[in-house]
Amino acid sequence: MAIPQDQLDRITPTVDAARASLSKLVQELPFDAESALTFHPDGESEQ
Amino acid sequence: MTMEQAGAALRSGQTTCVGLVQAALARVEELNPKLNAFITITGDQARARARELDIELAAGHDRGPLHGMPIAHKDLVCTKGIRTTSGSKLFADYVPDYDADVVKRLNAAGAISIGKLGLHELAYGVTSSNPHFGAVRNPWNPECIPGGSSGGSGAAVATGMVFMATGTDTGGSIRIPAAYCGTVGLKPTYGLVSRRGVRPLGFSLDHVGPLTRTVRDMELTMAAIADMREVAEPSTLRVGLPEGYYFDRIDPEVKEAVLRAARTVEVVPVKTPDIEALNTVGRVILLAEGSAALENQHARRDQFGPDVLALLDQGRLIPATDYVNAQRLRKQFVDEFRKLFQTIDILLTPTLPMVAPKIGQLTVELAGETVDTRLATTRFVRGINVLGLPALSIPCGFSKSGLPIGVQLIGRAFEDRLVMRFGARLEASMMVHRPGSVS
Repeated sequence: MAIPQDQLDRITPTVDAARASLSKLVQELPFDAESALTFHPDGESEQ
Repeated sequence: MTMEQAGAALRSGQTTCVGLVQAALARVEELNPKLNAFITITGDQARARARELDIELAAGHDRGPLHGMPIAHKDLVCTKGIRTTSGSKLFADYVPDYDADVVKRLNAAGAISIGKLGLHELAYGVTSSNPHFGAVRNPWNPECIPGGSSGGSGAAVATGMVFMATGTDTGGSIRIPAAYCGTVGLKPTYGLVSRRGVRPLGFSLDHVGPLTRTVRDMELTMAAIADMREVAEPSTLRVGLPEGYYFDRIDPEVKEAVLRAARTVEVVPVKTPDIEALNTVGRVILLAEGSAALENQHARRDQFGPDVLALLDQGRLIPATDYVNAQRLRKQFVDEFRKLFQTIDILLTPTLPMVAPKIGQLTVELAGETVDTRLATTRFVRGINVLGLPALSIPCGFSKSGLPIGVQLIGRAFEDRLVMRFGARLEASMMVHRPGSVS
């Protein structure tokens, strides 16, 4: 399905802006910054 | 009437479980044609369950404060044998063969579900103007949105169709309808209420929580659905009122109502970490996780509404590097907020920068700027999902146009009890008239 142009006009720039902002924030991120992504080697569920 | 009052009436013999359910269904029959809060109404099952619970109570088996209370579930919460659409054409005929954990716990506590509530398609939006099931309407002004994505939950609780409704909150979806509809809404600490059996949107951002009419009813509900930590209340509660961001671009009426609420307690001014940056992190994570969650359905493009489809398309274009780095930034923000919460116990903010916009209104004017309605609506709430902290929205006043305004109380992780205890005090000190007065 083609997405109506008005929806694309609304959403695309906001996503582009979010990515551009993120890029700036990442430039200031220390190389050893930890991630909030977690890995449980014992298979523990986050739920 | 609140759940607490109904419980007292039930135990004094003034009413029965059947009576409470009949009254709730009568209210639904009267108001749902105007508000479209429900997608599915399960009157026969509710009446049958109420009869069972009356027999139990007469035999001395009291399940506690939720015994016999009419409630309803957001329609992405799985209910055994009852269709669970997620507000989506894709799942319009999906009938789960199991109950979500939160449904099991509410059933065990004696609550009676009278149906399934409308929502923004797949919980991916803030308007609840659903292209497949129709727009849910705001009970204070049917031309306005109730907020979303748990819009049906907000409308049903505000109008007294039910005492409590379940909701989910990935970027504000409990607190937004709570504020726009004038109810209490809690996004609990991440993981405190089980997400099992609830259709995911953002795996690391999704929270399940209730909407109620009072904070006391919220406490009763949370005691039934979560194993909350007991928290020792400090002798003096330190309440932080943030400077800057939260009051920069905001409707003056909302600002005044929130500051009036803040004046009823002792507050200290605080500087928060960069909320705009925190929101960016939340948006990037949600775009990626939302598209991942719906990847199996993505090819069925004609089954989606245009706004959700556009978000899903965009989310697939987020590089993995952006997602991973957003999660690294997230950790930094969690640490920064931990430091902030060493100096305060509660952060008090507006829930939303404005009152409910009209259905179909794409932009709002805030401080002379034209802002996208979705971005404006989420700017004070989205970041808190990134942090996973408990956040309670309670009504704090009304605009001149008669629309509700909410104040947001944020606490430390797993200190949900403390947030609610403070919320109850604030609620009592503000004396905002109850949403039950919706006509």
